[in-house]
Amino acid sequence: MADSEILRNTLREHRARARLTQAELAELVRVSRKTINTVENAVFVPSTVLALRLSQALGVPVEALFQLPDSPE
Amino acid sequence: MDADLAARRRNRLLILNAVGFVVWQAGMFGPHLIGRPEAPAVIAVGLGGFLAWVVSLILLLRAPADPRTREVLDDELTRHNRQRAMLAGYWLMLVTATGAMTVATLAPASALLALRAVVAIGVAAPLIRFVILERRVGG
Repeated sequence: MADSEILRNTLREHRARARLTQAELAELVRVSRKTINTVENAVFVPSTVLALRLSQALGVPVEALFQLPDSPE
Repeated sequence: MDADLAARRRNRLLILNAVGFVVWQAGMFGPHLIGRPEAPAVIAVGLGGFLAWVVSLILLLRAPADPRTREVLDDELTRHNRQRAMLAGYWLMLVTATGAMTVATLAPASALLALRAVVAIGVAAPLIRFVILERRVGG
């Protein structure tokens, strides 16, 4: 995967904090459970729209969910 | 219907559709074999392939009644996988066409048979690649 396609994320941590299962979060943002799973495992980079939907559903800023690989922790 | 279940059902139908199409196209060699003992069997298998392709196509075109399932079956990841599958199909079709062209320059070959091979690969490869991608992510 090219560097431009890598996006670090803390989706799993924020989802656990919100006490949601992958299926429940998927329902909230209107995608499949597989999509949530692949985003959490950094297999799939979501679109801006999905990233914003996820941040809205979890009540955290999008920058808290997704970071570029070279951005500070 | 549960979205995961519907996705698995679609994957099975896509495989049947791809295999059916390839078998149908392979069966079209049957008329070229007229007079040889294996001709009826080849034609019969080809017809079976055609039937499998038509039935799976009809079932694939029937969208699930639940709007949520419909939406999930065409979500962002699915569209991404579909795009990658189409690209893989394009390259495989190009490789097949190049292979057919090479064969045709070395020996006399039927244009119709070459076209059948290119079309069969063009139809089946993206379908199979899509199912592989979907299964890789747990579909």
